[in-house]
Amino acid sequence: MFALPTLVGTQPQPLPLFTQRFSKIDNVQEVAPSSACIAMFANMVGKHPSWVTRKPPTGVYNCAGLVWANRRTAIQDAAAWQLILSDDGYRRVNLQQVEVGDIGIYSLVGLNRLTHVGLVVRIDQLQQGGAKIPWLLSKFGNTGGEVMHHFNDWPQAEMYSLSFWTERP
Amino acid sequence: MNPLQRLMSDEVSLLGFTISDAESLSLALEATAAVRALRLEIVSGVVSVELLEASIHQLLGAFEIRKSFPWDTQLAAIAVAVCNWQCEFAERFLNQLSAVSAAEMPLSPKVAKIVLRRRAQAMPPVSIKQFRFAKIDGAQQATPIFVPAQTSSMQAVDTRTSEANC
Repeated sequence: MFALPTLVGTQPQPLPLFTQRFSKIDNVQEVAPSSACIAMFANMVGKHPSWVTRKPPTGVYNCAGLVWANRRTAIQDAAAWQLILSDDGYRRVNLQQVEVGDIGIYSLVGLNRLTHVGLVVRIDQLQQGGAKIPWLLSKFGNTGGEVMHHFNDWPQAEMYSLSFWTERP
Repeated sequence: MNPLQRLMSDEVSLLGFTISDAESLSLALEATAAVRALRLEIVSGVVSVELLEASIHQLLGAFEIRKSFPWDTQLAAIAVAVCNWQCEFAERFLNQLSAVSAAEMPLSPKVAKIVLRRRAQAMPPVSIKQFRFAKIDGAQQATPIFVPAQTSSMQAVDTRTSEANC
């Protein structure tokens, strides 16, 4: 049934990648997006008029690769994300404590399973001392593009909860 | 309805963009209406093995070397849908998909492995059908004592019970 991908598929290529405490992080470089993936991404972006696209669909890295591997590789396993959060000294912060450079992590509601991570790149405040409205820079999946979006403007948002994390002291 | 049509919906496709982790993807797919509907159609016989196999072949027609496989999430969805389906096709599909190691398909083989693990956990424990009866000297009443005829690591199980559970 899967003879073609088994016989001619590209072997996944990892990079040497470690946490600050030298724990090895499993990773793999993604292949380029197919035309169907590019069309699906465009369809998704079209449904979010406030999104600002920074980069068109690309392979190589995923959301965690953008945040923790400088766009060089994809870190797919949520267990590796947990390892990074712990080894690199991240702590959770509330919405009012969020600063540019912190990260936002989406999880499946009720299951506490990490699904996506984005970098806080902008914080709006309607008035001095008012509620903070973070904007995240996100890489979508293994083959999507990079988009800047309001933290609540997320596909199928009802499925996810969002928490903010920082490595600041 | 062709099972593929529902799996092509945004409900399933978007998960491939918003979830990078295979375990999370399998849980999210489990909750989709598309996967639940496909599971019902399989149980009721609306979707046959032949139709599902043809659909998978149709999906795989889009496979290109060094390009991301666009239907990786859909294959993962099928793997989740057949999780409780005890048949030769489901077993073969999951085993073959889980054995794929290709950068073009990063998630569906991992989801297939997770589904196989769940199937193994849901299956009844090992049952042994060959027994010999130990003879007890001086026993007044014939009380059967089951002794495994094979390796000592195997667990002796009363076959009448285990067969009833199948």
